Amino acid sequence: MAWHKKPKTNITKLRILRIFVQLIMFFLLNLGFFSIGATWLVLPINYPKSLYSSSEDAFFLLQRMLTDSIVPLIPLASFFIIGSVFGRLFCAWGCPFGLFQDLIGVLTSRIKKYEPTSETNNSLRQIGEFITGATIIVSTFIGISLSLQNASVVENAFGIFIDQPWAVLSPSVFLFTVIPLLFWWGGIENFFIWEKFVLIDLVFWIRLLIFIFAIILVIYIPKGWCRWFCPAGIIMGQIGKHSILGLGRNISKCTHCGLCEDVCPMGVKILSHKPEKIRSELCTNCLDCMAVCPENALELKFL
Amino acid sequence: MRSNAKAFIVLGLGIICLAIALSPEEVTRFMNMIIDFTKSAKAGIPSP
Ligand code: SF4
Ligand code: SF4
Ligand code: SF4
Repeated sequence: MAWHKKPKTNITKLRILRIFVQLIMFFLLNLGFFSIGATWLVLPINYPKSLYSSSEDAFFLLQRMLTDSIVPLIPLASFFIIGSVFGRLFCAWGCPFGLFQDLIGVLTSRIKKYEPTSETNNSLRQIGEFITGATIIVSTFIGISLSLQNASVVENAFGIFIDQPWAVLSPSVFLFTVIPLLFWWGGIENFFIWEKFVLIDLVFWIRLLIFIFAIILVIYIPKGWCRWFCPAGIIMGQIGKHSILGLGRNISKCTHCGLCEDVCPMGVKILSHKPEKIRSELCTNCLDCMAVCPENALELKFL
Repeated sequence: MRSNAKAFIVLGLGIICLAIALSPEEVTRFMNMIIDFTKSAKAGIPSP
């Protein structure tokens, strides 16, 4: 049987292509480097405002608008339009924090990965749902309080959470904003002067701990952060499972070999979904399953 | 089929949000906010 070699080559090629596309996206999201700073691009990805970013992260913008007492129409439009048409496509092909997790996966590919059961996946995702819900409620509350009360009272009450509550704890903010600003601040000639490290406070260490936790998680569970904790992923999962674009499984070709489930980085139980369309909040349309299927039973389709 | 209907309802909602957001006052407010946001991100270590 020669077929079992082909899928392996297919999937390697696809994964290389995906990392390549993600790198191009990362470049496009950082056009600020060429002084193209503020754009209208609002994407449902995990890439908070950083030194050179030329786009907006829909979830962070949503928080910012809510705490500023503005109805977050643009971020909602981004979630609704992109999610209903493409599902979580940007998670696999355009999110910098997703790319970071993919790269950790590649670098630690020799370490044994664990695949949690569906029940564990579902239970842990509730933590992400809680983070998402709590962030939206707190942001709304801050926005309303600021418009009704003396700003300094509200600022004292919420402290560092006043602007974008989830930014304080998010590992992507730590990676893309806090770390670069810490080193780049003051120019390249001041890259490593100790004076600026006096700015490091307790919050920094808490952020660092969460960041290290995210890395360890991703080493053992592929895309662990995306599966359970990322608010943008949680929102997009809920919208994206009904998306127009999705994967279908041709039951007359499928032999139930299970290869597709084995390679799925998000742990989607493909065979337990209705064959017409895989309606999973976890599926990111990464296409690994399609590339590995020896029978070409999986296909990407609209509607 | 039902799921597709949900997709189109959400898509419609998204288009409505976008249409309202594209009104001139909203556009000005949004652009000011983004510019402000970009400046503050570049100003120094953000807190948060
Ligand atoms: S779920 Fe993952 S890939 Fe998707 S936006 Fe969040 S971090 Fe990025
Ligand atoms: S879809 Fe393809 S890879 Fe998945 S079980 Fe069926 S034949 Fe195997
Ligand atoms: S089901 Fe397929 S396309 Fe969806 S995340 Fe898993 S491997 Fe990727």
